[in-house]
Amino acid sequence: MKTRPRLTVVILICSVLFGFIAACHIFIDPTFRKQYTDYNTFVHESPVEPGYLKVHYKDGKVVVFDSWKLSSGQDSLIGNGKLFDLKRNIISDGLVSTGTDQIAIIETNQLTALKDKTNERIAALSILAGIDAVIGVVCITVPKACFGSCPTFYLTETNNVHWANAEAFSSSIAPSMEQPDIDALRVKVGSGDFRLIMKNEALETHVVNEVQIVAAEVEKDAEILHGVGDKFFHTKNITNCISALTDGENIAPFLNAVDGNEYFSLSDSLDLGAKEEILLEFNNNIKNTPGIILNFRQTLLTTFLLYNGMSYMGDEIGDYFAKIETSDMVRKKLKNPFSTLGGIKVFAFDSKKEKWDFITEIYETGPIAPNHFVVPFSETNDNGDPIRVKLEMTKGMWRLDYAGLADIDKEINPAFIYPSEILKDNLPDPEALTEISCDDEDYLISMPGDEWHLHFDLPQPNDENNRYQLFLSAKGYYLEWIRNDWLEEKDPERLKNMLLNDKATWRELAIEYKTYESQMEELFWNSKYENNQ
Amino acid sequence: MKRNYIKISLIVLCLLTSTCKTISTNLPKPANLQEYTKGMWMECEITDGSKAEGEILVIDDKQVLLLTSYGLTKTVNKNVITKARIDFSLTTNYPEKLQAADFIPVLAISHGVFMVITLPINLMIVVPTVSTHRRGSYAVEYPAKISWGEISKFARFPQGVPEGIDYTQLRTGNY
Repeated sequence: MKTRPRLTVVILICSVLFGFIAACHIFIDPTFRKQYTDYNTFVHESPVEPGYLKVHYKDGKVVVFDSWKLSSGQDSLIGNGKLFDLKRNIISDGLVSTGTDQIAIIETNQLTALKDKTNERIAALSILAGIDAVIGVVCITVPKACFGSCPTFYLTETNNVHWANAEAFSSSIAPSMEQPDIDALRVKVGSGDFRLIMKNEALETHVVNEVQIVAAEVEKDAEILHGVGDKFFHTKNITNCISALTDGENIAPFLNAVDGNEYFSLSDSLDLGAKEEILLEFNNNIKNTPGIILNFRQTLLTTFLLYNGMSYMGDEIGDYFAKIETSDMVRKKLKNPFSTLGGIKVFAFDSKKEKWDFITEIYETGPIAPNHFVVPFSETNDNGDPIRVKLEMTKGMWRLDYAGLADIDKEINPAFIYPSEILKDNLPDPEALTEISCDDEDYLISMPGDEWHLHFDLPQPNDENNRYQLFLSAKGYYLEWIRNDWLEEKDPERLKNMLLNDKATWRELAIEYKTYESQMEELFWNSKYENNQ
Repeated sequence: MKRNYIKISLIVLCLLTSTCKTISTNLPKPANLQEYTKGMWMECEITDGSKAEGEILVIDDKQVLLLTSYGLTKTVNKNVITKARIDFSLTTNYPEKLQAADFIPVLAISHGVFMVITLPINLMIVVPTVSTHRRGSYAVEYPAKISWGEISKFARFPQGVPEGIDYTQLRTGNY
């Protein structure tokens, strides 16, 4: 009998103990909810799979999409959903179209998402696989010839991309590959307002960190050239080549003026890495340091390879790019094919030693705006013999418009000038100005079709007779949009072989490229974003 | 003996049903969180020792506007709130099914003297895994884990005051 009251007490104590140690609430990280007050940022960072999405209107209504997509003009969200009033009663259920001007906040809930910095970047890349891009007939025919570019810059209003004066950070295809890029604008101007137009003409998201004008004061009869190591050189004496031989053919007529009349060869049908040589000869009038000037751009070979690589990634492209972001080794592997193809190797002939001296290898990504670049080298001839320079490059990979010889008298330090004003749709955009006026964590997001007018205040030159020779300095990266047609070619094994420089795979690529090569330029230019509208 | 068992059963049931204070019936299930369009539930402690709770309608620089369970709107100054809990959702999609599980430990009284061992074990398993989850919530605590800026994301109107809105329109109760 004595045990019964004790039993009750024990049970009570145990019950109370377990009752209290049981937690009523599970505390979680509140960052599972993400909100975007800026439509562009949402478009850039939106989730891979269009699923639930909540859009708060400025007037207090809210729509919950259970499926959605961006309109072709990127200016509205369209999908199936329910629209609720202020009291959260359903107003409509079905097709909903929401214009950007109605949106106050866009909200996503990712309960399982990790929210460290790396994952935020990965989320930023997820748009790669998510958007059902509107592709024109040309792209469907030959998907890998679709127009792609980084931001294009123009001095004048034109819709002809052939007249682009610069294309910025072409090789920065992921956040971790963000890097600055300097391009010659090939223009001389006086002080005052200088306008530059920045466009997104491709199916890409451009993420621009900073844009500057590099202004070098120069005399009327002199020239400032951008060269190796992002140095700037002053010259007053530039001469054309007297001969330019490749395979026994003199191509000098192609290389004696920056006129768009370019020399280019076709790729080898079995070996994309096959090289060619161009032997340049110049009269020797050099008094200071000689420098070989080249005006060049890439053919569409690298574009073809990049698009091929992305199509092999298929619907796993987000995962691959996440690996690119987080692994140095993967980034290095990605560069393998481009290392194999290489840049333009420059050699100068040492007449005393009777041998070619390797000077440097130059590489600039991009098939749109040509690069104007100088490579200084040491003059070893003292007997007045012609100066001989050899270029070695991959067949079918480069288009040369000009080759000249500069007499460099000094290196100079130009001024770097941020924009004073940015206009979008003819209206000042102070937020955009802040975003691109500093190398920091704030980025300007530019979507297909976007056009920005950048104004720069150029100061009075020290000598009133001088002018400014201008260059563009830009930093950022861009994200290619995946075309639906590419997803059908998913082939991870082939991607691996491509990155490991497997000979058989590269031979097949060479054959495939050959079938497109002759028509690729025309298809590429005809498929820019504007032409797909 | 029989009277003792009845007493123990009642005590156990009371404990099971009182281990967690019943949270707002307005909370969504986790599976419905994506489509839930109202604000999250906030329960706050105020400097004078009182408490306030309700759906977060809007948070501005100085105040929190709540819609109470009686359908009334209540404004609380942020600077008098010492502590708060914001409930996001229930922790289960099936609270009704779990209700019956509350009675499982009661069956332990049929174990006779072995109840000394089996009842605590039953409680140990059932309370945290069933009873708590049936009435528990996914939540976050202010100010330990969240700031006012972040809490505003969980308001019915995270964008702030919609222009021309009279909050009395949002009341649902009798007043």
